Amino acid sequence: MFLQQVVNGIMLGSMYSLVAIGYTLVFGLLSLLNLAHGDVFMIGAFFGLFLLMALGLPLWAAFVGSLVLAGVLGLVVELLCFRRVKPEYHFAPALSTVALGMVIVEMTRRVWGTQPLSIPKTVEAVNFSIGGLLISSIQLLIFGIAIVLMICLELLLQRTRIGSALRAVAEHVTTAKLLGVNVSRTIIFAFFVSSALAGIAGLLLALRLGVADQNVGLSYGLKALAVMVIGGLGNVRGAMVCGIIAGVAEVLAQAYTSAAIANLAVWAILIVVLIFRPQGLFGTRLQTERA
Amino acid sequence: MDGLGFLIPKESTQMMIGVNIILAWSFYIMISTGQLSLGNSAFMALGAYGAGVATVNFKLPLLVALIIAIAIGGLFGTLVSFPALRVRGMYLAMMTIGVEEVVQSFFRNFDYVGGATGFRGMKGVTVWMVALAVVLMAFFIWRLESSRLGRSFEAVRDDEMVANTMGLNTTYIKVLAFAIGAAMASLAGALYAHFILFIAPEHFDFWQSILPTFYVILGGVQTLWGAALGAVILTLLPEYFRPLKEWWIIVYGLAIVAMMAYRPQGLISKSVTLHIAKAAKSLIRARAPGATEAREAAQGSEVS
Repeated sequence: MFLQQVVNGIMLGSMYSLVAIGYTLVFGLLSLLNLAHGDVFMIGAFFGLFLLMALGLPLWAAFVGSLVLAGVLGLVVELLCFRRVKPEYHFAPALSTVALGMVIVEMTRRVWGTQPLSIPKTVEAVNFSIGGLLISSIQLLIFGIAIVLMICLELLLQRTRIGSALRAVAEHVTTAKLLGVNVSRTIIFAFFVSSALAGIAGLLLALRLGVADQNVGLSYGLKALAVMVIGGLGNVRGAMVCGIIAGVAEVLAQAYTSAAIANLAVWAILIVVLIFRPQGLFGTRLQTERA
Repeated sequence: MDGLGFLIPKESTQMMIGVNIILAWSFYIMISTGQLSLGNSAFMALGAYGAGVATVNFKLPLLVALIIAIAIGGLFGTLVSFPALRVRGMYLAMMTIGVEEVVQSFFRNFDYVGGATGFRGMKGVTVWMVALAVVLMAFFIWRLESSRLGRSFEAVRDDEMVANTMGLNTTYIKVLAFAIGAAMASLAGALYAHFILFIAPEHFDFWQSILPTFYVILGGVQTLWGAALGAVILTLLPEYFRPLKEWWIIVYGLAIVAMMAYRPQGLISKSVTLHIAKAAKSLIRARAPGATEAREAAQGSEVS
């Protein structure tokens, strides 16, 4: 029973990780919050649903499609809310992204209605039993995709040229510029990657819930933001690990206490972590300075 | 209504403007020491429920209930601000969101005040009471800002370390600013509860915390008047956008995005208030030349 809950928690947590990575990538580069990220995550499900239903594409194509569409939406967010912002007004993008997120949610409601839409049964729900643990094919798919994406991201950041450019800008913008890194292109790239991940995470969540919900940006998205902070602002690995921790904590709280307490699990962790480690669980000197 | 009558807001909107101005100021006081709080709806909820229980369950007079609300807000604000002292910037903002989620969830599961179904029975706040509260708060902040304490708020915001070196007790100043802001949000909540007649936990969600930040940033974070103007504009806009039906949210959102891109310092910045003050002064001078000459003469004699 306990192990089963832990497994379920890891499945949920991998989704928090994917979204939190998006927040953290942008924060690492710009030290600015992108609060529209949760809504890009939300609309990812609707992009996927549209491709599945209206165009009749197979599931893998829906994933690729919502990756690309969400990524492009991320570029729009960057263009409207971040490109023109001057460093001395660092609250401005936080607010304009909230406003843009509001627009994205409202657009979704205009196009797809205000009620959650159910997702067609595209994945055969087969339950695997591994050593007494029950894992559904959907759970396995979600976890598989999340893990593959995280490994890809890790390779991208550590092994490729653009990845090292990204890490360089995150470390110190001026130095990176002096070393010949094209900073604005790196930022655009980071927005695309983070939004693409959110788009896929949105579709994965919709598969898990069975519906594409217009309100997940505020519920799941906000919790993912908390996860990012728990992991340390701008710390990608921290976001990955803390997403899983948060997911497990939430599912365990759900199983052994009540839904109300489960809903607060992430926030309780956030408050406790910030009291004892103000720079986040995996925060370093870099993370403290960024705040 | 004919003519320009439609421009005059309804009574409930007028009261909402007042409440929103106080909420904007509560955020403004906190940000004036550099503390970004995105969880003020928690304090608002505490004030609303606290005052509501006081008038409905304990049959206390409204004025006493409002004072209780202010006390609850101040106390809880102090409580929250102690751990918050260790965290700064975006970490603090996130922590306050956490507090807001916890408080909202608490009221959802607290059956004594109706839980998720909400709490009703409060009444008695009129437009004039809200207006009086706004004027009192304005006077309070205005006095605060021209006092030694207000200057130290500014010093802490500009550079905490320097302020500390200069001998200011930055811990005390930050806790105080946070508590004052929380108390104001609480008062706003209490007023809100007593004219909206019905409160539920979802009235005090993340959005309710974000909206006042819109008011302050749009109106201008540097002055008291900017924050108030932002609250007035953004409370009235939805009313006038009504012909747009559901599309008004989209227009509203895009308007804020555009505003942040082109005028991130807000509508009224310090330089604007200085210009207005200067213009007003020169107007007075033009009206009363004799007085100016007399003053100049006095200044001249001081120099010589």
